[in-house]
Amino acid sequence: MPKILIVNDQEQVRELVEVTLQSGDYQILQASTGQQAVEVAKAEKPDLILMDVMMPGGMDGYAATRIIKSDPETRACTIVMLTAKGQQADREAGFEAGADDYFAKPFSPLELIKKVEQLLGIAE
Amino acid sequence: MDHEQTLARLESEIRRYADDYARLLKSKEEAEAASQALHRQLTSYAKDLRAVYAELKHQYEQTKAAHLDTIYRLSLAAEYKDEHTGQHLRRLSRYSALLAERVGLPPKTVELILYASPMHDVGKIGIPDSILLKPGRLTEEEFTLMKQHTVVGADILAGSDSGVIELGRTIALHHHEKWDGSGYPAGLKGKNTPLAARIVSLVDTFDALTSQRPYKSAYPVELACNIMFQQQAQAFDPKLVDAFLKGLDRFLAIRAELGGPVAVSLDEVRFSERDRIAGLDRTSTGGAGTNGWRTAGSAPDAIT
Repeated sequence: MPKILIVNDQEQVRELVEVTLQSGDYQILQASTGQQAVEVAKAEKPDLILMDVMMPGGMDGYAATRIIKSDPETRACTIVMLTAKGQQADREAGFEAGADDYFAKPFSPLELIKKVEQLLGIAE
Repeated sequence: MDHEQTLARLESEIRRYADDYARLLKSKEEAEAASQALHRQLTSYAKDLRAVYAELKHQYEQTKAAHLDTIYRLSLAAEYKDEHTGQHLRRLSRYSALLAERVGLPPKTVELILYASPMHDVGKIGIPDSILLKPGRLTEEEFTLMKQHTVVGADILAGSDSGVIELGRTIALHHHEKWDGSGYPAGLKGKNTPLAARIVSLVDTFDALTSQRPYKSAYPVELACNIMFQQQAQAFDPKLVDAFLKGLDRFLAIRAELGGPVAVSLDEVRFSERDRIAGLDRTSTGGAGTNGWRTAGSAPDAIT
């Protein structure tokens, strides 16, 4: 069963994403800060990380992505940045940090499901 | 000196207040921004929900249409030996729905009857061709076998979860019952025969009378109505006959729309043996007004 890590400081958003992805066969993990994301990534080796950009506590999504992608142990994780709609600069910063893909907020749950299936290679 | 110290203390306190206030304002702004982002996110969920609902509804309609189409085609298959075009089924289905509507049944039931009525004769599939296609009168023995098409049809349609098929079963089983209890297979009397079966029985007879068969010509509408009016106490629910005759123009409109068979004129009618034995060739051809339904006060709105 693929493991998916949801990184977001807003609990309500994490819950929304988790409920949305429960339509598939996934094990869902959550982290509320960049620091926590790095720790969970190292401990659990998720297949996919849905990473928010703006997070309090000193480490934002870019920084966390950079660390995860530079660690040989966690490098294989596919990282999707969740960026605000139309923020081209955010997207570029995400790719620069090593993200594999991006997804615009507010996101469509149906498209999120499709994107996740596609990235995990289980799309129809 | 005291003055200056007091001033300095006041100033630093005001500064602290201002800082606190700025922090408060900022956290309030952040909270508001987060709340708005969440709201936009929920709106996006609602939109997707609407799309999923519309898609499901569309798929439901398609599945339902496919289900009804399958039923109709299987009914056609059963009818194919003696009727190739399916015109009889199409007319019977529309007539049944119209009569159901005219006696005040709710739209859902009318729709059910529209789709269930074509199944009334599926049991014919179990009747030997020698009987089914025999021109002329059946012997007693043959007729006993022919009657089995009601029971065979009900067996074929029995035990379905589909409401349409279940109603089809009821209609198949009872569409040859008669109002006075002399019908088959159960000999049900009056309202003991389910309404849908009483409806199909009436319109099936009307369509048979006004259609050509190997053993009879297509009777003119007036003759068919006369025969049905005379039989109403015996064969049909009088209320249904009344509703049918009063709305005759609308039944004839369906008949015209679906390309109903062309009737021959009264003097050229070739009666079936059964109707000749019943004396209908002598009593029913006198035209309207002698002994027919027109004089009984139940005249239709118009006759085309």
